[in-house]
Amino acid sequence: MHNLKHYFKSKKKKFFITLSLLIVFLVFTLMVSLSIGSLSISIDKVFLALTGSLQDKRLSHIILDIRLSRTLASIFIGASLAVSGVLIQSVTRNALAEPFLLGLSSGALAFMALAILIIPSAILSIHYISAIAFVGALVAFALTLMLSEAVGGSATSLILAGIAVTSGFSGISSLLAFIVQAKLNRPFLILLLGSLAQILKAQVIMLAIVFSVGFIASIALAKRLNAIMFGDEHSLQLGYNPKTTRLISSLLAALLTSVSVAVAGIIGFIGLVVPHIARLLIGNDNRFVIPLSALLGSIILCLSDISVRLASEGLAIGEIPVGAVTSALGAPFFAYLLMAKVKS
Amino acid sequence: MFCVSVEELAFKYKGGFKLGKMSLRFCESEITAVLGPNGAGKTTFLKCLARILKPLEGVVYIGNKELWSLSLNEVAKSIGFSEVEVPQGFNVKVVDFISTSRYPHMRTFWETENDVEQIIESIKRLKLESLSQRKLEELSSGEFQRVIIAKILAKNPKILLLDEPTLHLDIKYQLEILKTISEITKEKKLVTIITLHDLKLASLFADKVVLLKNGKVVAFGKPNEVLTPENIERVYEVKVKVIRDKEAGMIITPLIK
Repeated sequence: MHNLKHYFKSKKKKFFITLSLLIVFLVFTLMVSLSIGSLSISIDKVFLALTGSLQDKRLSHIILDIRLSRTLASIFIGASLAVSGVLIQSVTRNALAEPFLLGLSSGALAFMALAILIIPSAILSIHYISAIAFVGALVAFALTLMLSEAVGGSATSLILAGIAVTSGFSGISSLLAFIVQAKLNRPFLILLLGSLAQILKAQVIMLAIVFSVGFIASIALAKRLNAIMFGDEHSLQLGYNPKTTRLISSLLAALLTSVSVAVAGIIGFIGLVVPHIARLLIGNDNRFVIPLSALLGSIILCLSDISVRLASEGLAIGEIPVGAVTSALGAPFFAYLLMAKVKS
Repeated sequence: MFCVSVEELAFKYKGGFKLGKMSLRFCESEITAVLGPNGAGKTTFLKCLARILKPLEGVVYIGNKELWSLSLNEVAKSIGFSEVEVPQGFNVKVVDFISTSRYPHMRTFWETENDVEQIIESIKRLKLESLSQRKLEELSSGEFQRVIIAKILAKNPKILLLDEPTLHLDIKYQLEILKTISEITKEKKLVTIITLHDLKLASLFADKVVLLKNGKVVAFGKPNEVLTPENIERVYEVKVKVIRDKEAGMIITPLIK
């Protein structure tokens, strides 16, 4: 049938067009993000600075050394959280799942705070902090899955288990964060709400490496993820061991989430909202959904950070945490999905 | 001739339910209906054949190869099993779901021309053209059964295992789906094994029948040899009368007095 043949071709075409448009939009967002701040710099100067041909050394320093780290961090974190969301939604077969709602983010932060309390100098090493956060995210995810199984293993019980684990770990991390901040006299409480205010180059490099690894591995898993969405037995039917898929995906999701948390604290709902937008654009195939989610995630977090910086500046009230903005925007979306689910 | 042989197969769940031992042989172009009351082990038996449950004892041969010596990918290419859970809230399109079935054959990241042709062919074979863009969650039971069969066909298997293909269907669609299964079995020379609840449908469409009770094979053979009042009473604990009619075939009716 001609129409169906056309469907496969046109879907791929649509994907590449969307991909290209989003890349262009991301570059534009990145330049806007670099241009704003206490000193506003024109876009053409930002472009010159990025290509290394800006004469004004001071401006070039502001753009490349001060602003670029923060902007790149927002891009990598947004992309990491979005891909983590795709992974978690696919392996749990739950459209409401995401790293924050299933406890991974809070688990990571609680473990980080605890590690810093025990060994205060740990706060200086992003590698050490990230490793601890990774363990925390894995522990929290495992707890959520076990609790969910114990109460029946339905889609709703997974979300409820996630809320229980998240509440537990955010309680612990709030308490510990308070102590860390008081004892070490360093801003730490802000991580509870997610902030991109203090980003170091070493952190950006860490984020870039982890995102690249996570992204490439997720793309390689895309077909397995498509298979496991229809159940373990369907996955076996297609020749993929579902346990392997679930294990690798969970490790990757925890890795992507934990490094983001280690750098910027808790930024919720990106992992929930973004995969849904990507699916609306291109359908369910994870080979398309993963790259589009990465781009959409980075654009959305970069835009959120731009709005946070503009608002903070305009209101002159210091730094507004970006995680508060993503939650404020993401929670109504969660409510909408919940209502759609209850209706069906 | 291509056959699936089950030799001394036994399986045990942790909960205690036992299957077997059973020795059976299923050959190409034949439909075998697995019958038996609820809890007799019909689905468990299919899952043992689909390499989802690992038998405690015994061997399953696919042609001349042992099932558990094959790789997951080899099994995926030759066996099609109906088990599917539709994820809620993902709005999966029928055509995308059917497409996943080509994965065992794909060495490339994207579907090749040949993959696309196989997908389209199976969609056409089950007359799903008009449903291909619909969402799985919106399908009726009858439509969904057709999608399942199209999905399995798309991977071009040698063995078709269907768990309750007539479940929740009214008589028109029951007949339609079994007719389709029967045609495809002959056309593609498949070894087809289905579980059924309806003795009448089994007598109409099955070339062979397996009667199961409490995990044991009570009888195996042609429907008119196996579906006797004695066997049916032994398995279902119901007295029946079997009438042979030239036009209607076997009429199996319970005696309630």
